[in-house]
Amino acid sequence: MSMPVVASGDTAAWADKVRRFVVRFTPELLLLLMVIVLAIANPATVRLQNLSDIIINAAPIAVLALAAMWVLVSGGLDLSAGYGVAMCALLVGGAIEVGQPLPVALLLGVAGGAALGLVNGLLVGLVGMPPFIATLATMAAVQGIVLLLGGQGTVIISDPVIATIGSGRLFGVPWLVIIALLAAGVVYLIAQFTSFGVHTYGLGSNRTSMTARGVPVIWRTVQVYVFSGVLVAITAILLVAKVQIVDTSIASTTTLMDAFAATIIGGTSLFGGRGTVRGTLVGALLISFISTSLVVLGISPNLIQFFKGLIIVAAVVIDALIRLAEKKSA
Amino acid sequence: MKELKSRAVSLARSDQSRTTLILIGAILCSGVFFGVGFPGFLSSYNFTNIAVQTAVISLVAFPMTVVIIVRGVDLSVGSSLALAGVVGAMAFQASGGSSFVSLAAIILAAVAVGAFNGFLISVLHVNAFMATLGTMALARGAATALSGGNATPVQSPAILFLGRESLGGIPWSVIVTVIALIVFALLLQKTLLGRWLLAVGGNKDAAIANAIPARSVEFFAYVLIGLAVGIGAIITIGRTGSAQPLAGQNLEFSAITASIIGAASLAGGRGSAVSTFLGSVFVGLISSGLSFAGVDQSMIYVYTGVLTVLAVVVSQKEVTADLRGNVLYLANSARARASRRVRASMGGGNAAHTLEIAEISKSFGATRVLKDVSFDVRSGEVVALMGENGAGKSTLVKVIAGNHAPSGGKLLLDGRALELAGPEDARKAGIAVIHQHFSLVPDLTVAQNLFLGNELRAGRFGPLRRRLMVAETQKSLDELEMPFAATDRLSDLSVGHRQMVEIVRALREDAWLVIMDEPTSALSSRERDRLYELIERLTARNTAILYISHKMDEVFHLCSRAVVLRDGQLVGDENLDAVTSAGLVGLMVGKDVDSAFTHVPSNPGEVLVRVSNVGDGSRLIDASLEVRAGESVGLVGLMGSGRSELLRSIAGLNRVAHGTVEVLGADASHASLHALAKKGLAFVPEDRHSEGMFPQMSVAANISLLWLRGKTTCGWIKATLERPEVHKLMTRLGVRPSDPTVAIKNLSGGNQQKVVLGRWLALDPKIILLDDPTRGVDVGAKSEIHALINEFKIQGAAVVVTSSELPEVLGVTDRVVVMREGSTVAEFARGASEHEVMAAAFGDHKRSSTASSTDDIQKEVVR
Repeated sequence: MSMPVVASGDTAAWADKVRRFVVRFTPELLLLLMVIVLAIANPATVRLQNLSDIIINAAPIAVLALAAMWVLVSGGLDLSAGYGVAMCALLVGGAIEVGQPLPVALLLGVAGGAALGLVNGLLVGLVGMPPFIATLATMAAVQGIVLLLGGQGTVIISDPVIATIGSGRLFGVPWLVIIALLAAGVVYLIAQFTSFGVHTYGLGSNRTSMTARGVPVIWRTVQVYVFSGVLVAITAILLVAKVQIVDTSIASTTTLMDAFAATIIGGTSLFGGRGTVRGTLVGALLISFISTSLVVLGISPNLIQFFKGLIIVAAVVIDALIRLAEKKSA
Repeated sequence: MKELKSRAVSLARSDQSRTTLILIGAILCSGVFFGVGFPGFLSSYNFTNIAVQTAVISLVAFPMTVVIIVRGVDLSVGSSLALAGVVGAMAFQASGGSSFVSLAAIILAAVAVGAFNGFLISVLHVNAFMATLGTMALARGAATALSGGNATPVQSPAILFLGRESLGGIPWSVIVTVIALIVFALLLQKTLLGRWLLAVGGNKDAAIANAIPARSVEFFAYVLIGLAVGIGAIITIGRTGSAQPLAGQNLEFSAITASIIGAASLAGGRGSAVSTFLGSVFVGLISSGLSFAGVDQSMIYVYTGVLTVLAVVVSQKEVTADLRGNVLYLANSARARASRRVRASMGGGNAAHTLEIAEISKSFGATRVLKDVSFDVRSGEVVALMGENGAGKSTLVKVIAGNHAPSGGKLLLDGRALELAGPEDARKAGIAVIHQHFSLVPDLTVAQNLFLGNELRAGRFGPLRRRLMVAETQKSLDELEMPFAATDRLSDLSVGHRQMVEIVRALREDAWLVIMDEPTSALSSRERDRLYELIERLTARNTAILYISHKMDEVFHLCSRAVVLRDGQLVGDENLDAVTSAGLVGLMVGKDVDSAFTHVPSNPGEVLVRVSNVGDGSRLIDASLEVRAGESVGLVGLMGSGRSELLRSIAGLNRVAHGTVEVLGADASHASLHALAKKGLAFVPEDRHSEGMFPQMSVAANISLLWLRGKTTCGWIKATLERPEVHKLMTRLGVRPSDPTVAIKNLSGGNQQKVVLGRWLALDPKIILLDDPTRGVDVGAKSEIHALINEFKIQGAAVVVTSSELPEVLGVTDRVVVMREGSTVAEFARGASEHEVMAAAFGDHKRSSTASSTDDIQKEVVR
């Protein structure tokens, strides 16, 4: 962000205040805009039932978006997260099917996510591969594992706890949403109150300085990807609870793309060092709002992806234009 | 024979060719392995199968490699392929069954997507990953929407032809792929556009500084992908008999993998069509072989992943170097962390210390940079370290700060020998060098930056005590009366304030000696005053400061003593009450060295360049200059005086906010470098690394880059034309080694500079602007460059040379123009003494002061 140029007059100062407000709350403003536009187009979109659906649908997107955010903030990238969700879901579903108690199944899923994170972290942090290539490779491998696990066939979950998480509520708030908010809370606390959090942002901001100051950069990189992997696993658990049918199509590149879109629209920078939990949650709501509302509006599911793509392109173009304008005024 | 051998060696050394060879070997080995192990593998049927499977991937991977070469990526190819197919099927129905319309629509749709990507990325400067992620969704969505989610069967034989038919047993899809391979290989190796692609990807700044239309080149790369995707869509329709909205799933990742295995570097500037093809074939071969071996498809995916990792580790040397470094780092960091300690307050600096520099010498190989330098620094003193460029100041600082071990002599702290194994040890000894780029993190707050690596916690594993850290930081800031808060984000602070954060950090880590290297060069005058105030407070707390500066007024204002280096030796340790600025200049410059520089008399003709009162709105304020044909003019001044800016303004690379620049009689104040180059102007930039050379490209490619522009037939490079020109230039300049195929990054600095010069010389320019051409160049190459300058003069060109080495400029040029603080202030004819010129460059310390003038307020740029 550039410092304001010495300006003359009150209008310039006020305009600048507005500009800063817009830049700071872009995701919220976009969401508001979207809500207003769609509400005018069709009041059905803002019915309570629809809003409730939107928030529920946003839950798994939000958690995966947080996973993506964490890696992006550290200056990295994780392409394997999409299929990673499928892998963890299959692990959980498969374990339940062979009769394992629920905690064991869930733990297996988390372990799978963490293991994927460990491999990514070692490739990027220790071997020094560029994150794009490293996670491209792990993505291919995970795709294979997903196929392998999927050979067990479609699993239908009938576990009562899972059913409660999927459709139950606590004081009117769906469990899915509660878990997602808890995950968001944990991410927030880690970002604000642990050295791991500070160092993750530092890594994405200026890795060289971090090394010069003696921060254990390699170890932190591994931690970043492992933490992200755990969040990937939690996304999988949420999805399993939500749809209760587990097969290979439970998650894929589309899921990952939604997550990326959500966190980038939420203000996370692709270059690292910037990203907020608040923005990511709002971004997830936005993506969910688009998908869910368009369905309500009777728009065919085929068009929904088109509109999502349109929003991403629009967001990306707006961001580029803002940055171009900032550069000119600096 | 020797030529062949050296060629083989250079081939083996080049990352790209090494990978190609390794891939060929790997393909042969796996072919043999699977062929022997599994019957039926080595059959023409199987090979045809593999070829067909990999055809579309290879087809798309070629332009993907091109895009990767220009530092981009395209994630939308799969979706674009599906969209093109769907559009084609629709067009077929809409046009009542016209295959021609359908085929045209397919190609147009794919190219449109490519052009859209190109627009987003090269015009709007959107990040390639994000942009193509967006178009990926857009295209896939459009394909699904337009087709209603269903596959549309296509029955026209003309459309199905490419995907279905064969010629002499070879499927057309394979033939098309091979043709594409040849086209792309030729494009990259034999056309001017190919050179431009490699140049833009290898060093975009240099490409722009050499008048290459970088934006158009990037845009074109994405359009090329569109074209290939269109053809791929046709092939895919032919294979399946229908246009499917879900076609091309994961195509982008397969194509990128093929490119990467083929050693395309994501950092740009490197890639080969042949290697990409081999990469694609290799992956196809392995998949097929594993399939024959009965391995499950899922595991084949896993092996592909592992293969990609191996390929990268093997082909990208930078990666393996990293690995070794990282393992070493891990081993060392445990030790380093244990011994680091930071106190919560800044108490320690009050004890008195003395650092004695005792006969320090430093050599790098055969070059001696420091010789027997001795002086000391005590707590509470502000000592200036002065000297011309190359006098050895930075090396001395690096020795004191522990970055270099001295070759001779030693450091003594309070009388005891000080052994520094690295900068950590220097910090522990209380010596801190202020450079903000290497130790501050922009996106964190001041408090977070100060406590980085040593955060305060509640207990051993508890949460961070943020309020405490902020309070502690604020206390330090208040103590030093800093004009910013502990909770301010570093990126919101100006350059001057960031510097101060560095200083506060140094003090918190118990530094008693703070070394500042030209700290005010990037500051506004208000920030400068603040820094001076801070320095006064520091000395009041008994901190010692070693202050490197060339600004006389600063030195006399802040310091009590001045230590002067010249040619690596200490020539003066003066009390500033007893010496004048002229005296200091005299020490720095020494007596006039007999110029070993040859000079040729000039015969000046008409005025070719006329600069009148030019300013650029920031560093350049008011410069005027006239240069005639057949003369060489030296442009001198201290760092930051505006010399480079002036040259760049003449060359069209820097803004001309007011005043005029006339080149060859015509107004050139807003002309582009390209236009000026066509008229005969040459500009060799100051920093060859950032703007001069394309490190991965060969010497030949570097030298011929500009010259080729007029000499190609429709973009085709005739080797028979290029080679003799390159040879001629290399001989004329004396570039060593004489092998033109060596990558320029492997040459010495002097030879690199000669190549960069040669590139412009090939155009026979009439006006030659050289920005510090002998910087970082050895003595031998320097004199060769001087001889060249004389040669240009004799041939009637107008030459302007800037240099930080005064003797050089005085010896070689016909007259010298001095710049100071953005304006041309003096001119000296040949024969002036170094002393006179330096005095003009430094100005008199008594005149200028720290008071802000209206000029200063206007040029205030708060960063």
